[in-house]
Amino acid sequence: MNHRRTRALPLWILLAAAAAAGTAYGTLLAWHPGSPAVRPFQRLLHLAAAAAYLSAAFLCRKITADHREGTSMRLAWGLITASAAFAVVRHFFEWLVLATGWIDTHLTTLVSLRQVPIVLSLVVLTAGLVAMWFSFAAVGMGVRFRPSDGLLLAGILAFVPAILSLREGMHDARSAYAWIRYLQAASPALLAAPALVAVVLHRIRQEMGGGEMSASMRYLAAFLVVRLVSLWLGLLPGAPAATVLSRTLWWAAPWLFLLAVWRRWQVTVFAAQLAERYEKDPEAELAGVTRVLRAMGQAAAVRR
Amino acid sequence: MRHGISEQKWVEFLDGALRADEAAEIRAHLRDCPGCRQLASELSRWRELLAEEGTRLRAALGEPEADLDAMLRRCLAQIRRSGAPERADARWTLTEALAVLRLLMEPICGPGTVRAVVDRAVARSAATGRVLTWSDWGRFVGNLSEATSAVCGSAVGRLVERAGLSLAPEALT
Repeated sequence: MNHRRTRALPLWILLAAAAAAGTAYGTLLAWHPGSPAVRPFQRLLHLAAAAAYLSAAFLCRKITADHREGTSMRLAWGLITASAAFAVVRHFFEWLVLATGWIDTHLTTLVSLRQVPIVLSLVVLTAGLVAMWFSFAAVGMGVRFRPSDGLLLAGILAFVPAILSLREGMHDARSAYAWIRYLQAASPALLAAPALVAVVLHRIRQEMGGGEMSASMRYLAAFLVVRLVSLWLGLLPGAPAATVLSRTLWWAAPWLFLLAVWRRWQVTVFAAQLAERYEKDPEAELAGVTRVLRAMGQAAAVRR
Repeated sequence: MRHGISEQKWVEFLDGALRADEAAEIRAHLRDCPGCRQLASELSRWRELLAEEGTRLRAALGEPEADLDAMLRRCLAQIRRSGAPERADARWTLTEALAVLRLLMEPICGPGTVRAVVDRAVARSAATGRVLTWSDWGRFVGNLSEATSAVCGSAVGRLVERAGLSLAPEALT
């Protein structure tokens, strides 16, 4: 396994670029929906999102391999990998229907099948996050909640009826297939479910009190909440500013997910590098720490 | 163990992680025992220095190119310049060994996670209640590695195991 560590800056740049492209796309949709630039923007954004999820799926797979067989954390990362893979399928499919023009000719039939990878991605993501929660709960983390967590949960749940009331505006609400319409109708709840688990992740992150793992959890929780909020914003009728903000957040979200996964992967890389050094020459590694502890000689003397 | 207060309890007391009643008990004892008061003060200073090391390691995580060894050497030189005395022997006390493990793990897993997995490992490993002794160390490191692996991955678990076993008295004498 290659354990090379890299900087996060390129990812932040890509995230900012995706957000900027999302803003431009949202501006076009809000004020010039008939503009010929809309379709190229859509294609570009779907391809970029597919690339982000593909990279995330690749890292998720490596993180899965870093967990022992039969552990719930391995199951969690396996499911998150599957979720990212379904997201790749979804965005690639959306790019394809735009590139081929099927979006104009098969909107209520073939194109509406995109709901299948969307739903699968959300279901396995939720299952993965719950499995992750179980892993932390086994060491006593994420099992005690505070009143503020209740408020966050209530806030997230409030989005579900708000989105349901606007579901007629959703892309595939008029699909020729009844089961696709049902899947589309379920999407607010399916998006809310992982967002609810995000509250648990937020609690676990606070209990961690810092560190690289905690940074990863922060981005993961943000990704889950951002997607729910952006869906709601995008459905608000007659609110161009909300459309712009919605698209900005929506298209930045895949990169936020990649950032979360990348930070988690850095934990493995950093730990593996240190472990290798300890394996090769433990005395040299401990020599530095020994000197710190020797400086504490007085404390040791008192103890004896 | 000194005056019925184990090494693990001292670490938890200084972390503010001890149960309120146990912490109150130690505070009451400190009022009457000048030796332990001095020990607590020294340990607290020691803890601060280790925390500084943790901060430097954490910074290193954000700067992948940074040379951790050089960074540590700079920091140690600074500590030596401050005039801290050196110990005559190179053996670790149990508290020191635990602190070194925590120092390694905290920038990666976070202090809360480390506390949770250490507590779990101590409870599983200590032959007599929650008091850890050197004879429990090998079992403790194994349990700590396993608990850490479960939440942070095998790479971190392996690091804990390697470093933990290097800290055992027989590895250093």
